[in-house]
Amino acid sequence: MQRAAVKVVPSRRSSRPPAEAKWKVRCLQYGSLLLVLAIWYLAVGPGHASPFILPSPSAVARALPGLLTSSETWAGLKATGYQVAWAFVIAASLGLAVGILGSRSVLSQRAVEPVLLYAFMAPLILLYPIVVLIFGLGDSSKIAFGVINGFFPMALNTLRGFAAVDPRLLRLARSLGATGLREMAVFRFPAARPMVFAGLRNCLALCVVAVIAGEILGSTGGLGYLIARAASTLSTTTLYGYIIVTVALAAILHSLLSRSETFRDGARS
Amino acid sequence: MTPRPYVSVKGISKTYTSVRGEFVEALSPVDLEVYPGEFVCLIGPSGCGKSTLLSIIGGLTKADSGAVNISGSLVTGPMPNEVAFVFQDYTLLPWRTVERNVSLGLELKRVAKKEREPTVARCVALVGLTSHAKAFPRELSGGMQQRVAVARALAVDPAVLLMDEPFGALDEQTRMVLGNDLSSIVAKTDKTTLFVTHSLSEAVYLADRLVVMSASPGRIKEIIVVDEERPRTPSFRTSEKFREVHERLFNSLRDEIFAVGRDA
Amino acid sequence: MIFEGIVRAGIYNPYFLPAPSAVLKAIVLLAKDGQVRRAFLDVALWSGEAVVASAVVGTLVGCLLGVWPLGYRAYLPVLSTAVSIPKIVFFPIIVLLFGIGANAKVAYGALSAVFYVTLNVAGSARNVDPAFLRAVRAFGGTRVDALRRVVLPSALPGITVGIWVAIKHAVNGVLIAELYVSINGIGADINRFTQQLQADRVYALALTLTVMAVTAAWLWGRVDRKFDAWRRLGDA
Repeated sequence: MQRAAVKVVPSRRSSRPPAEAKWKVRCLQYGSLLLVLAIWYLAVGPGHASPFILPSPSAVARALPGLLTSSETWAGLKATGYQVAWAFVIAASLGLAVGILGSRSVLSQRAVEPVLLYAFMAPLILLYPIVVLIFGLGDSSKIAFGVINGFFPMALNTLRGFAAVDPRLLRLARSLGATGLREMAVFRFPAARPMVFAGLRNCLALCVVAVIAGEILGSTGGLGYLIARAASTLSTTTLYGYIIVTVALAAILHSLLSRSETFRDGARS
Repeated sequence: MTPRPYVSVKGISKTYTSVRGEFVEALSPVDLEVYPGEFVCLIGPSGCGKSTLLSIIGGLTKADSGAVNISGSLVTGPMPNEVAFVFQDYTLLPWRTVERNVSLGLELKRVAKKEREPTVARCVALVGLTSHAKAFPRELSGGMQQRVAVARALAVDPAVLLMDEPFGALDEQTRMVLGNDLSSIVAKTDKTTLFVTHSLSEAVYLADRLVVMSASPGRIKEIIVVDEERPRTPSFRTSEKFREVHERLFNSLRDEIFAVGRDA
Repeated sequence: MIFEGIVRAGIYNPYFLPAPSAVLKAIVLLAKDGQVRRAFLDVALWSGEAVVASAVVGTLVGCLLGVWPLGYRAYLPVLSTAVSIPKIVFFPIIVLLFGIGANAKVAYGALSAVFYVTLNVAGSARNVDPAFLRAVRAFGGTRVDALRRVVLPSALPGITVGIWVAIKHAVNGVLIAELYVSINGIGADINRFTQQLQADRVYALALTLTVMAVTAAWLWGRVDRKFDAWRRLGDA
């Protein structure tokens, strides 16, 4: 039984042009960044934009080191990070549970999905005053608000992911006698993984947004508070500095999530 | 002494309700006996119920009447220990390598890793994919993916192989190669096999007996015996015996085949 | 700020979960108030403007990225990160730029929504089946033809989903802006009612605003369904 060991690679996107070279991508990204910086620099040149609204990049650059080493900033980072972490963990777990439970039968899918969808559409910011009234002004209200915001996209994505498992895979599972928990673990969960991770990403994004919004509106601590304070005292350089710090925090959290997604993920590119 | 049947189908029928609310008799009562080690092909036009029958035999679908016995036990649901399926759409788990796909059935039977490994290696070698053992399904061609499916079915060492048009999505040449290999593997491992196909030449080449089915309602029309030793060799395809059986099969199906085109 | 005031006053829970009947009465009461009605319509109007603005910008940029593979690869991570940055950090800047009037609120709402639209449109425009493009070329079509007849329809699902998401974020954004810097608008009302511990009115406003957002989304969902009957493979 000899056959030629020809390795055919039938890529499903075989008609798309090959992926662009990495260096080109990097060039474009950094090029755009430089362009933005250049515009910024020019904009604050002689008499263009008021230094109140738009401090010069060099001023911000000068202020950054001070900010980064200030204990206040780090305290704020810790507070925000703590709140986001808790909100994310709770929202993700709840969302996962609800999503999986909701996907068990067509009936439950039809019942649960619209509820989640329309709750997702509600302007949840309106709940913030109520959350504060219930939880007080401390960490827990920010965490609670974060959970409320992050829960829905996670539940929705999980529900969709588990509901949409290829029925052929489920037929295979049945023919192999896999039921219940085994079927879930071996067949459904890996199949739903991309959607679950998309849900996790959305959840993280909304948790961060919600927590910081909470900090800005209900000033007690954290990065949001620092931003609000810088804004109200019109120290725009500090403001921009804090914004950069916040953006950096969000970026780091997301890259951590992406890392965990590709960990052990040999099957997909 | 006549051997006792291994798979016994008695009075199996199945009716579906179509979208328009009509009753479609997918299978009117069907009887069939398959003997141990036999290779039986179910062949017929679309809608004759061959896939349904296979599914019922394997316990994936419930019949409306009648009973199926495999090795004396009544079939009430999927029997992963006795029966292994190979479907047309390969249904390999895309996130697992070839090896891990083949070991799937064994894992679900809670076979320990140490015991699994040699079996998996053996089955992968049997289908000639040892050099691709660590590849992922998307890196493989259609024919190779189907080999993995066969290996996976063999790994659980079932008594009965149920194959539903496994080579249906492949080109003619790959079909021939795979058909050849399947014939050797099945003869070597002495499996009882039920094989559903559309292709007349494939059926004649592979089977000991051809169960010819017709549609509306689904029923067994005729059973043709192919008296030739297995494993088959490529020269069988051009032999006189092959031609005769092929012609007999064609005549049996002719009315059905050409009737399908014309709307009743 | 406001909330600190409440907490310092030491009032606790019994006041803060009013009975539904009280909420309904408050809705009726507020509906009669012309100023509240106007403020409500203002919010609706600004949300609409924000959705339109974000939709236009998002669609344009999204289509561009969809057909430009290099751009897509380069900017996709940027967009994904942008989505997870709390846009609220830019709010003080927007206020500095636009003042504390309607423009700031619309701008902030649009900013909140635009990245979502862009991502959805780009992803959808990217999935153009090359076979269709080939067909256009084979029949002698120009690049503009290809754009109109193949890329845009391909991007349509992304546009409709994008707008659907945009509604949520735009309304949310406008309301955030309202809560922060409104003088006579809904935000001011909410803040005032919260301060005065008139929970039923707070809930009344929150409820009606939610209904507005959800209705808008639902209506858009129906429009979306009409648009792509041809595309429906099954449930959304």
